[in-house]
Amino acid sequence: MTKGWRRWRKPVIDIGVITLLLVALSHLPPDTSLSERVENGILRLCVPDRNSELIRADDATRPGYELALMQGVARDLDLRLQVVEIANMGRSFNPRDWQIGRGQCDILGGGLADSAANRGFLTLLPNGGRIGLVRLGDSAPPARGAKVGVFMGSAGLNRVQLSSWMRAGGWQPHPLATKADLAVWLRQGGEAIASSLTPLPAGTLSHDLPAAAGESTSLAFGLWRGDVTLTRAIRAALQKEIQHKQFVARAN
Amino acid sequence: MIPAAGFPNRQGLHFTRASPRPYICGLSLRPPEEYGRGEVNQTNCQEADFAGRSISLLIQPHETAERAGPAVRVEHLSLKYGGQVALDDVSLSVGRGSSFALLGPNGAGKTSLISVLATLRDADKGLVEVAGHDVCRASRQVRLSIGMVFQDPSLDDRLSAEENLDFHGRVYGIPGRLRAEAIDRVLDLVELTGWREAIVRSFSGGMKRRLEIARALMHKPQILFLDEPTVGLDAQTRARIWAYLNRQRRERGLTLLTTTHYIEEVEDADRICIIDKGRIIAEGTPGQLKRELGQSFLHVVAATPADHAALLAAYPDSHAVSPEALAIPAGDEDFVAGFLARFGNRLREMRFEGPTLEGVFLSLTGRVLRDRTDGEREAQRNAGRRAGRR
Amino acid sequence: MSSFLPILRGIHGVWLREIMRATRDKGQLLGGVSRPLIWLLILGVGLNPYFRGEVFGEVRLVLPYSYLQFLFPAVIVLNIMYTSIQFAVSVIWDREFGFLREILVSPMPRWAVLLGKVLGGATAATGHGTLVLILARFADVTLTAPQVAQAIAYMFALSFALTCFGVVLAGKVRSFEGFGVFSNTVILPLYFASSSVFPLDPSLTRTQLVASYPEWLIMLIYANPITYAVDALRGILINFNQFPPHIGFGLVGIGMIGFFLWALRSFGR
Repeated sequence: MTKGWRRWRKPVIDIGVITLLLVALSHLPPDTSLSERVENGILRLCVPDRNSELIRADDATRPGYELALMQGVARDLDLRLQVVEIANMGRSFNPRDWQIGRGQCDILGGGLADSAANRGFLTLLPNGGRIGLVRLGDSAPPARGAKVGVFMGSAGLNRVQLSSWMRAGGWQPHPLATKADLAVWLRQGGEAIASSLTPLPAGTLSHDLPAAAGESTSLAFGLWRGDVTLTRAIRAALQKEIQHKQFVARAN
Repeated sequence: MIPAAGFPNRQGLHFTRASPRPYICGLSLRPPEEYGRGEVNQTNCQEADFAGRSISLLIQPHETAERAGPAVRVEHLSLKYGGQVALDDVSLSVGRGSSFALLGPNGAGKTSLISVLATLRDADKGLVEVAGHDVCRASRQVRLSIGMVFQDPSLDDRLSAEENLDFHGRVYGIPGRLRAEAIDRVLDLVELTGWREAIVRSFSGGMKRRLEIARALMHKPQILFLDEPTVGLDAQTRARIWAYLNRQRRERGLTLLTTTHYIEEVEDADRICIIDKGRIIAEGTPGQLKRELGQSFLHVVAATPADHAALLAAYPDSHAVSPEALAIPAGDEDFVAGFLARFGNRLREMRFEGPTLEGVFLSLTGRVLRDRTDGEREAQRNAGRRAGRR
Repeated sequence: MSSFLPILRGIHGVWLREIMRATRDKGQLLGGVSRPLIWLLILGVGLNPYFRGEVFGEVRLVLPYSYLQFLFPAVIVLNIMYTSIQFAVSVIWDREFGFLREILVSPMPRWAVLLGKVLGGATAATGHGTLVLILARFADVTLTAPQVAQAIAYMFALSFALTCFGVVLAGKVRSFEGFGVFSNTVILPLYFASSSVFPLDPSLTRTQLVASYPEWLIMLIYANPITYAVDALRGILINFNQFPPHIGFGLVGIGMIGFFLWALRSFGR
């Protein structure tokens, strides 16, 4: 055993040194995107509408889901978050016409869907938010013939598609008019289908629906591709925030 | 046969380093056990003869021999290489436990023959059996029963001595415990135990040679092929290596098959086979060959130019070896006595050279055995080796 | 069956020797480290800004990856190519300096000797590829354990095929100097003409591609097996494929067997 070790000691040390060197080098910053933000002390989040459900930038006590996350992230990175409203966003089909450049924004948010088209332009960090329909309740889907509550809200999702899908699955839709109705229904142990942006009572489990029930996409923050260091820092902080949020949600 | 009577006192002779190095024959007979390659420079040709025969009597066919019959049997072997005939109807037989030498100049076909015996090359025609196995049909058995020491170094000089041996052991399929034992055994045999973990690159030529021989003996072969085994070694190392090998012959009936173009290598072989241009031109014990085909020479340097002229006039068939020295063909003992009587006091230097294998080769082929370019070739090869090293 | 264990032992011995030589050769180790550093740290970082997004909806690299991420698998393949093909130097070395004869007179069959050598070379090359994986963090490539395992397995297969290819080359070249030049004239063209350093946009049709690159270059890239080898590794590491990944896996598999048999023909002559 000692003989074998003596024979391999030198190569092992060499490879160890090389590995350490590479590990050390892999911590070099590949670009200046993070250091520039740190220097300015500001992190700019571009959104189409300051007061959408996801942002609610003017409601200091109850910020929207995405804004809350981003505030956490900014706090984590020791930066001041600045919300920039770009009214052009979403007005035209072609994003080039929105005229958003690196000069104005560090991060794009406020309802950016995690789509292939967006991924072609930006590095997307899914933020845990979803837009679309989700099923609320037990992990096992309800039996055929069960009554399933439906709360569509103001999201403007495809009702016709959903109802035909539910009929095909043998479920009876039970319309719920308000958020309060939904909360009551759920508390009574009922299953429901709702828009994913609906505020939910704590501890509610939500499950994705198949595409046949209505297209559902996750929401993401968009960063400029190639901003490796900033992306990395925000990804890490975001993960922490999301975990923290889930932890708090579970604790309640 | 040179009787001592007609021979001047040894101490009275001038030993010169003229090339080729002569062998002085005397008559101090010693028992064969004492006989060794170590005394090579002062060896007696008669002794070689005697010793050779004695040794072949001492060696019994070895018990470990898997199959009966000679160690090597070659019948009507022919080989063409690159359109040229490398071996032409070669037949020979090497007895188990004997020391057999293949003597011939470069390009004579020695290496081709070894390649066939070592299964590196297939024969075009003829039967070849090594250790009782056919080289074509049972090449694996043949390879397991032979050890090879190549002309050029074939060690991995970036590994240590032990690692080279360990590699050999693994490649020959020796299991771990036995391998470790074999490494200890052969390192001890060639006295390299202290260099076990040294990288081979740092070894001297002699140490590398010893290590190669150790490696070739590691898997306990029945036959050891030595292709130009002691080229470039000093006399001391050469003596030690031959001492090992002869001990191996005695102790376990190892068969030695040596190829060389150095006469010194084969003087104490049991049998010598002289090969030239792919054909065997003579075979026998060294004594036989020298007796039947050899010629004695008297190498002399005259005291004055006048004496030189007188010598030339008296012996017109003498060869001028250098501007000063002459080699006079010597007949029997009476010739030497007569010569000394006539010219004994007109010489500056005199040296008697008994029948040598070199002389045998010369008389058989009309050419000298050893060409001077060999040394250069080796130097070039070494230079290339250094240059090619990364 | 009784001769099977000794052969395995022999293969292990040959493999072990290659590993010892590869790990002791400081020059080789240094090359294995400096190449990825040059390509990723210098070229990658240098070109990254030219491929990054400046205006939303307008981008030079129409792929969902940064340039560093895109380059990362290609650098691994480059490192493997160098180490594998340069491995042939070891074969030439053995041939020139006589060690080959020691192996050829051994009772090991020729295929087993070659297999041991190639496995050794492939292990060394895989090691060099794995060294690059350490830089994954730098290139912002996040890897899971199964991804790493898959990548190493694939890298080994690729190394094996390329090492056999190197042995074939060694059979054609007689000298070290010749091989140095030769290997560079083989490795670098194969690497550059493989969609490794510039992307062929998968969303573009062929006609659109021809608009951005000349036809001959695209032909070259499509004809180059390394293109598919790099692509398959991209599939594993960053989940991005320009071509169906099974083309890459298939080519590597065919290369392993085909080049091995070819190498066996030229080995030891």
